[in-house]
Order: sequence, then C-alpha cells, then structure tokens
Amino acid sequence: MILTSFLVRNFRNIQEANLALSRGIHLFSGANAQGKTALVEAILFLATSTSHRTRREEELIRWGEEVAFLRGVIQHGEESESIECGLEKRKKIIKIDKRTLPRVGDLYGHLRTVLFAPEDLQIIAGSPQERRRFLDMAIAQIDSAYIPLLQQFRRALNQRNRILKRLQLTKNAEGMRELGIWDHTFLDYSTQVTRRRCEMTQVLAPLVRSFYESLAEEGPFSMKYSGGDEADEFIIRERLQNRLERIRQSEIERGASLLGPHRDDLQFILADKNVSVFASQGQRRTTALALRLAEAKLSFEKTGARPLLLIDDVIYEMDNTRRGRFWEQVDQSGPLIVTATSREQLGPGLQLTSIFQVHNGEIHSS
Amino acid sequence: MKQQPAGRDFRPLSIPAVEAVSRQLAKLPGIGPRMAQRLTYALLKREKKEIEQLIHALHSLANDVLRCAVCGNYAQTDPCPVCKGEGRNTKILCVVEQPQDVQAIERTGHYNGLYHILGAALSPIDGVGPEEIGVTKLLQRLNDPIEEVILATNPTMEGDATALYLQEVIKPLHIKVTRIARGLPSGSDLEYADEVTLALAFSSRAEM
Ligand SMILES: Nc1ncnc2c1ncn2[C@@H]1O[C@H](COP(=O)(O)OP(=O)(O)OP(=O)(O)O)[C@@H](O)[C@H]1O
Ligand SMILES: [Mg+2]
Ligand SMILES: [Zn+2]
Repeated sequence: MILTSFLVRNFRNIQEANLALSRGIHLFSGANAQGKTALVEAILFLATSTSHRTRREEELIRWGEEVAFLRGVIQHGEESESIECGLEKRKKIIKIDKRTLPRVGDLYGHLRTVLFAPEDLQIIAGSPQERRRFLDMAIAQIDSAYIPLLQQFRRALNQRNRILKRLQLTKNAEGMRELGIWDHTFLDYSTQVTRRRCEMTQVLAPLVRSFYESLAEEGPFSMKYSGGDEADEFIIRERLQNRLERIRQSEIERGASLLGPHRDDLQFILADKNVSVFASQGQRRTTALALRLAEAKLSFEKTGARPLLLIDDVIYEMDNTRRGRFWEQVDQSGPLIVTATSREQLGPGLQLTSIFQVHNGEIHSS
Repeated sequence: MKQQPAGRDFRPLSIPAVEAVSRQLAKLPGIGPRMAQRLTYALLKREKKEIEQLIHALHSLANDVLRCAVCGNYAQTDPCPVCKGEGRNTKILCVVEQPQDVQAIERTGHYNGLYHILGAALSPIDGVGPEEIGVTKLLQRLNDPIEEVILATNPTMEGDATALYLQEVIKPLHIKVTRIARGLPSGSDLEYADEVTLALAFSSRAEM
C-alpha cells in the first residue's frame, strides 16, 4: 500500500501542495514553523480522519479559508484507489473512489499509517486513559468489530453506573436485584474487551521488548495489562466477578463502577521499575519509539502490506548512538516520511528517495 | 450564506394550511421537514374524497383503538381477540417489547399462544426500570395456568438484560422460561427480522 500522490489544499498553513511519492524514504526539510508537521498531520487525517494535535477539526482549516481539501491516490499492488476528504467548519465528507463513505469508521484500512510524534510521550507519561487508547487503536486496526464492541461496553458501563447512583441515594432490595442484572451485562462486555486487550498486549509485548532492548541496549523490558494476563474469557470473567463482589459496598457508596476495562492500565516495566513513574526522558522516548515500531511490524504481519511510517521530530532528542540504532530498527524499504530541519540532522547512512523543502507552507521537491 | 435584507417578509408564498399539515407530519419518526412537505403536496394533488377517507381513517385510529387491559397490545376490543383465547393455546405466554413485535411473530405463523407487551426494555439511562415495564402486571398473569413463558425481547443489550431480569423474577414460580434463539442478528429489532429467521429463532428457543 503506497501513497503515490497527495494533494493538500488549505490545510493548516499549507495553501496548496501536490506531491508525487513512492516507496522509499522521503525527507521533508525546513526551519521551525514552516509546515512540516502540518503535512504529516494532513496525511494522518486522510488515513484516519483524526488529528494527533487537536480534536477541534476546524483548527485544521487554513486561517481565513472555508474548506480544507485532501486527496491521496493509493496503490495496492496493481490497483489504485483515491481517498478524498473535504473539511468544512461543521461538515466533513470522505470519498473513496469518488463515492461518499456512509460512516467514518469505514475509512479504516484503506491507508494504514503509523505516526511517530512528540505527543507519543503521553502514552508513557500521561494518564492510563492514554495507554488504553493506544491499545484500543492497535486492536481496531486489525479487528473491525472492536470499536462497536467498545461502544457497547461503554453503554453497559453507563447503565450499571446509573443503577449504582440510584443505590447511593436509596438502597433497596429491588435496586440490588437490578444491579445484579447489570452486573451480568457489564461482566459480559468487560470480559470481551479485556480478552482482546490481553491478546493485544501478549502480541505486542515481545515485539516492544525486542525493539526497546535493541534501541537502548538495556533491559529486561516488559509490558503488562492490569486487567489480567491470561486471554481466557472464563478466567477473566471469574476474576472480575470476584473482585466486584469484594468492592460492592464501596461502589454503592461512590455511586460508580470502580473496576473494569475503563480503569485498567497498561504498564511498561524496565528492570522491575515502572517506566511511567521512574524512567528518564530518554527512556520514555525510547519506549514510545519501541511501541510505534512494534505497531508498524504488527500491521505488516497482519495485513501483508507495509504501513506508511510518518516520523516527525521524535528522534532528535536522542543521542547519536540511539538515533543510529533507531534507523537500524526501522524497515528501510519504506514507505517512510521523515521531517528534519536539515539533511544533516538526520545523520548519515540513510538512502533518501527524495527531499522536499518546506518553507512558509509551500512544499517543493529539490 | 445568503444575506437577507431586513424588514421584508421572505415567505410571501406561505400557505398556512399546507404548513400546518407539514408540521404535523414532520413530528412522525423518520420524516424530516422536506419529506413532510412532499407528502403534504402529494395529498393536495389527490381528490378531496381521498383526503376525507384519510381523515376518517385517522379519526377511527384515534377513537376506536385501545390497549388491551390484559396483554397491553393494541386492539379494538378489550380484552383483545388473542386474550379472549379464541383458538389460541392459553398455556404459553410470549413476552415482547413492542406491539409491532406481535405482528412480526404472527406473520411467521409458528406461534399460537398468548402475548404480553412490556412497552419497553430495561434501560436505567432512559429511566426505564421494572416498574416502567409493568413487571407486577406480568406476574399477575402468571397466576393463570401458564406452562411456558417465552422471552422474545430484542437481541440488544437492553433486551437481553430484560430477559435475564424476567427469568429471575419468574423462576420462583416454577414455570418453564425460554428465550428465543440467538439466530437473530444481535443489536437489531425483532420487528425487522425476516419471517424465516424469526420462525427459526422461535422453534430453537432455549430454556433459561
Ligand atoms: N489553521 C491554520 N492556518 C494557518 N496557519 C496555521 C494553522 N494552524 C497552524 N498554523 C501555523 O502553521 C505553521 C506551521 O506549523 P507546523 O507545526 O507545521 O511547523 P513545523 O514545520 O512542523 O515546525 P517545527 O519544526 O517547529 O515542528 C505555524 O506557524 C502555525 O502557527
Ligand atoms: Mg513540527
Ligand atoms: Zn390482549
């Protein structure tokens, strides 16, 4: 799957750019605040209909303009297809081969990307929610039924919370019986979500471990999902059910569900220490890179096609040895897009397919 | 954005009677303002007699249809023909969420027992609890000699929770409780299931 041409109109500070790309490594070079991240963000937006920098999509439209527009042509073996995205203040239209997609969710899988961005540090240093989202996104890429399942889980959680809220105010037998019913439903959906997150952790763990240890030459590195480490629905359900029974009283006092997939966490452990709590900046960055490298490798293994890697800024805060080891770990056959303030910043040894200069929102190949 | 100069009436062609009908139609589910207007104009094109027939039908809908005090279904007699037991197996009771579900099940021709309509499924976030679905009324009906209760709530999260709840409250009465099979697409409404699927779901119902 290769993005062979990419048109950007009125996206962030890019007024218009029309790029020809191919497999291989493409460098987008330019000083600060010229539009390098804007370009990367535009590709991500075409692929996933989300931005890594904002949830307010109108911020993506170039100031003073009404509509942002993106078009990419994607080559799958012999065949090619086009993705178009028109973005207005309160409206977004996505078309594949000129046909409007009924649901944004259907966009998934047409153009697979893995973004390495400064914001990835949040996966390590941020709240558990960031880590759960990382896992969820990784699962969604290979299991199209997962996002609907998550939505169902959230609904079950809301239903159960509503009963707990009521019991918090007045505790009665009828309410307790209803709680029993929603416990059951909540357990059903929790079990399914937990099983998939466990599986994903099990699949990712050895990949992340091997990438981390190669990048940092230290270890051992491991990953653990707090919802359980056995992907067996029977065991998961029983364990959660037992734990729920033990905390029943506090759940009623607090009027909320205190255990389950909405509370679980993904832990990164380096030499018996929690990376999120104890690691240095460099170690956290290395963990984030290892996660993305693992995600890319998994995507390739599951789909048979290399995802488009978008590498924005993340490597420059590492020392030269780690930077060198990073490039050794990256699949050099691409497709890969990397940003830098200059060619030199990348370090030696990379076979670049093309270099684009980014200046004041204009992009030219050089 | 079209600019509208101030002080001018921009609906010189406003026809109050047409708008009144459109407004009423637009209140119906699945009908937006545009569709409502289209329907109104379609009505206008008809002969006056036909509109009067529609008025007559609507009038009868409002005045002659009532809810059966026993099962909760719509009918023109109370109790409804099914509850009167004419030619029905009065030992089996099928519990559904909506009156439309009864129509769907009747169309399969595979069921000949009685019905009970809950009117909703349990859903705390929508404020629907056991009281709102009339559990007491259902339990009262089970004083009659009923041998099997078939739970035919929708295969949605709320429909399943409702079935589970009913099974629990009926259990102490030692009546056989079954749930129609999961052949139905999960998350869908019974009303839209095709006849073959629904008939199959009935014949392979499982004891709870
Ligand atoms: N909606 C918008 N319309 C126009 N310009 C915008 C918009 N949003 C952001 N910008 C501007 O676009 C410029 C480019 O930002 P971008 O983040 O792409 O820079 P960059 O080349 O990645 O720089 P750095 O090397 O510092 O990361 C910035 O000056 C930013 O203020
Ligand atoms: Mg940038
Ligand atoms: Zn009746």
